[in-house]
Amino acid sequence: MLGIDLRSFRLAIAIGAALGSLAIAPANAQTGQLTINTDRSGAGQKAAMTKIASDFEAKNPGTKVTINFSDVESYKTSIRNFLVTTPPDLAFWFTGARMRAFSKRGAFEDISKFYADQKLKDVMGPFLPAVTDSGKQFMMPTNFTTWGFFYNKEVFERVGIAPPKTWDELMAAAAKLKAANVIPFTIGTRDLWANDLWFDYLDLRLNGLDFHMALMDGKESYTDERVKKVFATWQQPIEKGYFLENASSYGWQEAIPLLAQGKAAMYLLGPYVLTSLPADVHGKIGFFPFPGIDAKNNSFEEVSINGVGIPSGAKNKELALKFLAFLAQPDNLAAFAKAGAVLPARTDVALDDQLSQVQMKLVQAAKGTSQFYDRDTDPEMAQIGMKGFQEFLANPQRAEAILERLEAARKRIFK
Amino acid sequence: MSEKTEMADYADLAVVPRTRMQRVWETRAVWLTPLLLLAAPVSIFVLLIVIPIIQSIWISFYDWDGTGPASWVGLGNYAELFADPQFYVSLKNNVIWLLLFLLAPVVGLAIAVFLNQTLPEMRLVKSIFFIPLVLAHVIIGVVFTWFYDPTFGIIAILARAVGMTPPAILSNEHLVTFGIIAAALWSQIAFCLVLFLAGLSQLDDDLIAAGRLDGASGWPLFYYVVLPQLRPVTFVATIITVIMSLRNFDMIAIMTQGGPYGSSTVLAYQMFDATIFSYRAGYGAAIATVLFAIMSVYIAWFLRYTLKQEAAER
Repeated sequence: MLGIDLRSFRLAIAIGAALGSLAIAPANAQTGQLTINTDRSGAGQKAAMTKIASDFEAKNPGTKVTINFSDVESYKTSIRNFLVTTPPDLAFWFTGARMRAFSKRGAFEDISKFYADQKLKDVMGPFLPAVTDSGKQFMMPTNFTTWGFFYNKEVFERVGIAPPKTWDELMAAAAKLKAANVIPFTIGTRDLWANDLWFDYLDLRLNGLDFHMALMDGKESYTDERVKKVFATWQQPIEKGYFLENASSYGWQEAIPLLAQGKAAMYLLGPYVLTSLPADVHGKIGFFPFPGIDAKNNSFEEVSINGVGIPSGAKNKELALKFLAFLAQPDNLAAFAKAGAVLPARTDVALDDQLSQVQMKLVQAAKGTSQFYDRDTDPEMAQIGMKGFQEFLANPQRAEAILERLEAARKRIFK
Repeated sequence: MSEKTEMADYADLAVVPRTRMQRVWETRAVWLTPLLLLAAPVSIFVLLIVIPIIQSIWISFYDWDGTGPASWVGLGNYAELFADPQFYVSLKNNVIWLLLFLLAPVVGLAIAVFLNQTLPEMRLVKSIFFIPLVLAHVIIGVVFTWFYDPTFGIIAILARAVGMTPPAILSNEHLVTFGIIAAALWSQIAFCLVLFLAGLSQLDDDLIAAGRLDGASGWPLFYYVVLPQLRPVTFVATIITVIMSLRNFDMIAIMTQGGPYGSSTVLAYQMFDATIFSYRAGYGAAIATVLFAIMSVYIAWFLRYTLKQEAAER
């Protein structure tokens, strides 16, 4: 009749995608041609990437590097098409579960040997689990960001507290701040993700990395005693009113001014706190890592890592590996990361600003790292989980019902 | 005399012998002309409306992430949907939207009657009432979000001025839907207002004068003379308002993203959330199909009314 089935529908999508990506990825049959697709398209990153590419061309006469820049959001959808239809030689992407979504389908080349050849196993050590799927590496980490408490130094001084090192110290500091009429923790949960950090860090500190990753992979239950303990611990500051009231009325950025104005004292977030504030208040904001609870778990950190991989359908894999090795050189990686206000994914790079040095030390000292709730677990689980955390922050007494709902979702999603 | 014989008579007068094509055309023009004229719009309608609807329904029987392989699950998506508590929250919110949105034609008509005066100052007043129509929904959503901000918003400032605790409308699971509807109603009322103003300008002055002669004034004049003449406008305003209330999505996406924790989600937003954020095109299509079924009821009612109306006029 009308002859519509899923196959022809998908064919139509594939044709559309192929036509669309002609603009992104021109064909490169000739050897010496290297095509790179990337979403790191901020002005600074664009310039840094272009310079690295032209340096590479100068060192390898006869090669021609073509970089296709795309904005972050549209790249998230277009990569699903171009990895299959018109694969470039290199594709930048997120690591962790988002990489595994592709490596499981065989869309990325196994580059495990590359690390041994280039002797990168040590300097990139802390970042390797993020690019590993069933024991093999599928991407090279390029840059990362860590998370922790950003605090208003003036407020801390006025109230007479030092950056807390343990959970009890953090709670004591919050009590003092609350008594001084300052909101201890500002947070905006309308766009859901800022809240994840509290869950992730408490789970890491209380139950360790192995349990956390098993939970993310759907192998542990949300109604497990250990998850209940995370919620019970999180419940203390919520019930004492240490969080910004009505947090879901604010986007993550809208909660930052309260910190700068001194109405709130701390914000558990990433360096985006600083990039969202004018430069003249940067000096007022300090940083300390998430305090310890259980000594054996104190050196697990949440580190979000980006990277670059070789699609299985790439035409020039030799040259792509050569470019990866070039990009991995400390100077190049440092220049690339600095341009994007993030940190290079190598532990042996000299950093010039203080916050970067603190973050780098944190990662070097880390025994293991997770990435972020919505990068570590299934996308649908992440969406349901984040809504649950948002509800928990507003109604901590519903903990049990929320965990049961998450558990039902886990059972359905990871069947 | 039938049309056919009339045409044949005319043909007899022709001097030039007719070709076969002409004869074919003459005998079939009655039904061929509308067919040719309809071909373009109908094929566009089929291509852009009918086929996507059928595809959506078809996809709703699959478990599909949007790009990868799809697996047939039959009615699995629907079974899951009807067991999903979020579905009932969305459905309940859709009903609240629908009922409260019906205020738009009523309030719009009231304001239109008020504005329908020939005072020169009315131009300024009218243009003030038109403002929400000029603004994009996204902008209205953002501005209302600022009104509702529990720290810096105007409602919070006013509440504190009179010594009340400011309500956090968008964080309260019981108030949030009403908060968003208030913002959406603001622009929907302006839309109905414009329709009614146009309708009021078409009123038959003779009928109103006759009514006045018979001693009618005030409410009876409005109810028995003016309102019946506005019936077609009222009908269109109501139908469009109902459809707008069911498909509303943009305000929710801007103001709360369906939150807090899904309590302001409606079916249209849940469909978007499932498809885009959870990568579940099949489940999203099932929600779309349910929404389509609900809307079909109104469309059927609309068609029935229109056809009856046309039959009565003939």
